[in-house]
Amino acid sequence: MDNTSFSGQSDELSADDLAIIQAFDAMNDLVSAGSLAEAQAGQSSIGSEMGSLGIENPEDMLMLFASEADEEISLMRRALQELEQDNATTSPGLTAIGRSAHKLKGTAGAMGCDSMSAIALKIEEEIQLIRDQKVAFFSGLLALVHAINALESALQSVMHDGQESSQPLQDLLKDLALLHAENNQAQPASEGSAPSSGALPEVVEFSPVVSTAQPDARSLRSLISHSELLIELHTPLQNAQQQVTKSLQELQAAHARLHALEAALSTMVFAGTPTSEQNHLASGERPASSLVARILQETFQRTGRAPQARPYQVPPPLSAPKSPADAALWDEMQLDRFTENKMLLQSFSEAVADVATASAQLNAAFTQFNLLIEKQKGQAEMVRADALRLRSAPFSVLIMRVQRILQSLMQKYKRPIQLEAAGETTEIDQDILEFLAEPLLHLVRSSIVDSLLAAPASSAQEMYLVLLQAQSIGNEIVIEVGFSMPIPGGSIEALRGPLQQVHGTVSVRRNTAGGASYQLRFPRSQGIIQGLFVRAGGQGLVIPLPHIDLIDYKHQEKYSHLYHLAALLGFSSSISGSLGSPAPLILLAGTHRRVAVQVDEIVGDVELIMKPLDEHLQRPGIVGTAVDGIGNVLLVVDLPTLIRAVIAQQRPTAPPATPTPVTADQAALQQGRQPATILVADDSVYMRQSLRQTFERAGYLVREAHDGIEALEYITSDQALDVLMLDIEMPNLNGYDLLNILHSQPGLADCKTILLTSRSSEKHRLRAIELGAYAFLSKPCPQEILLDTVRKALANLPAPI
Amino acid sequence: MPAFSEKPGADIHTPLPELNIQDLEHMNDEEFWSYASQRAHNSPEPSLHVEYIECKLSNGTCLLALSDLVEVLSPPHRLARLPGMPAWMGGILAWRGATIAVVDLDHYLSSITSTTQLTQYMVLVARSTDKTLGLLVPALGLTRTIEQEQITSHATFADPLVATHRALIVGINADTPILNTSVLLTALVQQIGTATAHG
Repeated sequence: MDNTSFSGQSDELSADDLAIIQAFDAMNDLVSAGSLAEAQAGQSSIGSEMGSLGIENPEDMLMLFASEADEEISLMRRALQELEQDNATTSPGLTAIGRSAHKLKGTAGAMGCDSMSAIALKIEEEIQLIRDQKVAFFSGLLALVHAINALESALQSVMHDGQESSQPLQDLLKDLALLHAENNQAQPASEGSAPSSGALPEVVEFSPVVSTAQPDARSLRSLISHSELLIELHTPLQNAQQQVTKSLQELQAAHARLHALEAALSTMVFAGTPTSEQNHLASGERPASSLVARILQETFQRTGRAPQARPYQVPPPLSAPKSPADAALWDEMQLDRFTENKMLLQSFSEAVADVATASAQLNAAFTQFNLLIEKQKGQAEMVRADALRLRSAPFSVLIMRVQRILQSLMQKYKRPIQLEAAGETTEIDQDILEFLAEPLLHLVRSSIVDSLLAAPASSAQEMYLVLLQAQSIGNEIVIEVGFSMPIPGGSIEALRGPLQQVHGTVSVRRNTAGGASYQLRFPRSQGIIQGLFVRAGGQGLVIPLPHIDLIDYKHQEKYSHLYHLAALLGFSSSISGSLGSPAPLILLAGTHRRVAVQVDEIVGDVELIMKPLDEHLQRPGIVGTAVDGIGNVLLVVDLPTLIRAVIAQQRPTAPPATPTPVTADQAALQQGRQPATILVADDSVYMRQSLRQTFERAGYLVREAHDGIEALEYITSDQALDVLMLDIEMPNLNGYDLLNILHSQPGLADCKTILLTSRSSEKHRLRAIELGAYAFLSKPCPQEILLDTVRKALANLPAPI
Repeated sequence: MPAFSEKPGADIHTPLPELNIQDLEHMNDEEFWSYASQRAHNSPEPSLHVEYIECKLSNGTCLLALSDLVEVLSPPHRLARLPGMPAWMGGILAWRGATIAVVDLDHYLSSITSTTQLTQYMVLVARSTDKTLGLLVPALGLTRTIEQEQITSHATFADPLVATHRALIVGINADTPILNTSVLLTALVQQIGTATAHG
């Protein structure tokens, strides 16, 4: 290392900067071909290289390295996502992964993290194989996923144990061996495009074994297997369909024969020819042979005309002939002594039997066809589940990243922080996880840092608890992030945007540790929507299942707000219920108060592909459209957003004709009830007391909340509340957070909120308006203005904001 | 021999000499093929005529360029309502995997609310750059091939439709206004987008 090369810059660079530059300079020398073998030998000691380089303060450097490595891994994950979308070897994602891997290879080597360095080297090699098309693109992609996971595990071991584990590298090599073995099988040897043995010298050392850390490879195999079975079903389905067609044709032919005979029979009956068996047998008609009968029958079928009715004759005696002439006609054996009518009836019976047989055959063919259709549907669902599994990642990926943040914070602030995690194996769509990871990690980091900074010195050894859990409930994923200490506000706003984009919701509540917990709910997968198919105003609509708590057909549930869906959409409704029964109610999920929405009819559950609307067709509360099986467009309705939009539109804006100020007592007397109740939410005891005195002197009832969560608990407790006097700066939930929750929830959006804050800038005022505040007052606020604003709010007069 | 022999890199759009039968007879197979290829590849003269289709409305007829129409859908159509859609909008329709707005052209142009069920109308799927919309029309007439010089100015044309929607008309042919599809679709998209949610 040539220290003189930095002499010119040393005045301008900090000690950390210099250390980084030194580490970078050293990296090229440290990564050698032998590093892989060394890495596989076991755990490597971190810091030895730093010591040898004379780097001071190795702990700081380790923190720096971990932070940088984490950043590079995140970057690689994002690039991997891009690569998956581009699905091409020319994707810039591939270059980005290569660049990060190269950088990490050097810095990890400089830190003495030989396994990480070797993994990074494998990533570079895999990228080259993909570029040279020596491996199938998808196999290469899987290899990269494994390698990045291995990098993350190795980094985790560094942070957790202070020593790098070689296990992730060994697992990776096994995974890669398996993947390349599959790839070689998939590619015929004649193509000569299999990866050269020289490219992967270490791979041959491991026999292909099924590793427990190979969900991707297993899912891929399962997907291929299920897809093949699905394809194989095509021929039986075709055969079954042909059988149905054939049976149908036979039934039609039998029916046609029956129809022709029916015409002949009708003619016979209407012509007055006796048709009873007795008459047939007794009639004096000319005997007919079965050949004649067949000819007649065929003639009937061909022409549709019945034979001429013959005149009724006295039946000949069945006894022996009495005259020679009779004797000539008498047939002793009674052979072929059938009349045309008898033949006709016989043919009719046969035709009926033919129809019955053809019906039975059709029924059997149709049953078989249906069985195959069901089988195909089941197989398609398995393929879909496999595809979703391929797209998913375990929640532990996020937990590991949170752990790293907590460890770095513990070291930095010298405070004990404990993570209580659950649901590590919960599978979450990678896109969603990646999309939510950043805001979630930011929430964790900022909440802890702010809390630690705000905590009194006396609580230095108090354990800070972070709760992180995920669970799969039906077709939803629920992630809960909680903190044991009061956290600063503003988090809801940061989470709401990303959540809305994945059609999810966020709610907040006090947890068992005494702090606040955020609950994030979102659908398991995007694109396909599982919802309730309803009708309102004659229109077919889909309500996403995550928005529904329960369906109340008999109106037995209690609710605080009721809306009619058709009215919310501006459609005329034909609500009446069927046969006198009331129209069903849908009770919304995730709301602090029970909100019911009435629909005309509930058709049933559906699973449809949702598509977003073009910009000019977008409306508040309509998140997209789906198409049902017969081509009808169904609007997908986000009920909470729709209700919020309608309430915002209905807010009074015009000034009143004759504003009449009334006192709280007068208003209460006029309405014949208790004086109005004001909830004062402020973390300052002085402010709460001061406001209490002011409002009580004016005749109001006053309740207090010392933070946002306490205010929310009061609001959702169904206790009397007319006006909320809200501060912005409060722990757990700040004023904006609370407003955000009130604004987003249909049952709470009509709560009159007056912001009373020392933040008086236009920016804050506009934000308050946007979130639906009734009024915005700056501290200190003259008593008259305060009371006047409350009076106007109670009288539902236009907002003075 | 005329200079029609193909040379590497020769401009195939260079005007070719008109050859008489003797010239052609004197060509060998290769020369003839080369000449024929060049003639075949020579770009034709730009056409000055455009095909239009008559759209029969309640109080008249208008013309739409056939080149702007992607498909004509026969009834029945499954139209879904959209909250806050303008009165002249029939609804939305699933078409080739997309959801498109369907506009009652008769109502939009003449402000006449039809008594006929909209599902009895034809839907003309019109496209202009990135906009695709369905236009409901009561009936279609004949197609007309119109030369540029057969289109007259609509500045002085006395017709209520033209007077109200001058910006949408490109000209008049045989007393029939010709609609500018691009302008029409842009106006419709803008008005649908700005319609209030409950308006």
